[in-house]
Amino acid sequence: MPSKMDKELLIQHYLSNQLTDEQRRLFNQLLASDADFKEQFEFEKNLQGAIRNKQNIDLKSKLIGFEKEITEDIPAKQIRPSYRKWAMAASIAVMATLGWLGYTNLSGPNFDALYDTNFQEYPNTAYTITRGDNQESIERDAFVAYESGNYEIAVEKMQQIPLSQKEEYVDFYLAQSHMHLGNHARAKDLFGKIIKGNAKFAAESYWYAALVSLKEGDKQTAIEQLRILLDSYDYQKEKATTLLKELQ
Amino acid sequence: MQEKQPHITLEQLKQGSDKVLKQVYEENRAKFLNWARRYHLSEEENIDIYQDAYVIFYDNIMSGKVERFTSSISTYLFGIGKYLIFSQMKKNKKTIRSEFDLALVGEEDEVTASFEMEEQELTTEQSLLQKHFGTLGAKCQELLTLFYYRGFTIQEIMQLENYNSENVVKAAKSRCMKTLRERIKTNAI
Repeated sequence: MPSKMDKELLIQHYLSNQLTDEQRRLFNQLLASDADFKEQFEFEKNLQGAIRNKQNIDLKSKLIGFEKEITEDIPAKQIRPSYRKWAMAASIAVMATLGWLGYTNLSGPNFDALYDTNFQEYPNTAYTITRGDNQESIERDAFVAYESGNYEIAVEKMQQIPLSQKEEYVDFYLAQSHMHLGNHARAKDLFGKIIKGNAKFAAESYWYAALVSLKEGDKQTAIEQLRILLDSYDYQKEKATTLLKELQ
Repeated sequence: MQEKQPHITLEQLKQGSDKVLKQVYEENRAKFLNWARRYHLSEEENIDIYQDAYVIFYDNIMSGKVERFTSSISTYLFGIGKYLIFSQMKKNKKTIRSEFDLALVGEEDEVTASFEMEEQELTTEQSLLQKHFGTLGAKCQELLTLFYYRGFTIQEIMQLENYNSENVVKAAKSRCMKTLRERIKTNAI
């Protein structure tokens, strides 16, 4: 006669698909002869089904949330042939020259107003901070700080992430944090690096780099950056078109 | 060019962190939707099917149907997706053209051959259990989910949740089950 513990183990193994042939024989025997065992088994099997169903519903809602983030926050980029990469690198060289020329064209405070109208923080769509997640990491601290608006801490933490663990998106959020802190030169360098490497967030970097150029009063570079953004990507299409018109 | 993310293992997926779930969702989405478009369903239907295929794939992983990956994740998703697309086409009363016939068996059909494709409707008992399960404390819900859904042993739960001994876990589990039984009984009267 199997003990209570043996019976519990049999049910557990059944529910996790781990019964051996011998255990399955014993399990079937008990199911036919032991009413209490049968009742306990039915209860646990039903509970497993109920939990499984709940988990599936929860997962589906999570996926709907991911989808929403993709369609709302990150508009689809156009598929570009690979020569675009080189064209963009060439454009950066042109931009640098034009930028210097454009820099001489500094003008009034309306650039600041345009910057303020158009600058909106890019939300954290890269690093998921799970509630109740006990995992401690520098990256997690950095993004918690970013989401809470503590940009100084965000910069500090992002710079501490070891190179081997640094995800591609970190530079983009580091640049965002610098923008908030008014470190536009640092932000500009980082956006330039992302664009040059055609890394994740390249389209977004063109947009924000154009805003930095505005802030610096560098109208010509801002125009060039917006043109490339409109020619090669879909990101911020409407806003970029409006801003370009205002600058021309 | 986007940098390729590190390869996701079955164990990582089983742990089910939001980060990994999202990475898998994003990595396979465009590929799946491009493939699904040939069946001329609406984009909304394709996205819904992609999500359902993902849920079914994950459910089969958690119920032990996948012991190790023998193909890429996208192959599994395509296999399930194919089944769901044909079901949807039948529902929409669309004709299935011969080149897309179900009889054409590819790798994706083989790897998902033992999968449960349809979500089982909850029985009355299960609905009642689900309702009262939701009223249990967070600790109880977590413990029972680890045991019955994630397939953790008592010893693994002890280590994960920092219980002092296996007996403490067993006692806690018994209390949760007892509460659940009592609540169902009260409700049934």
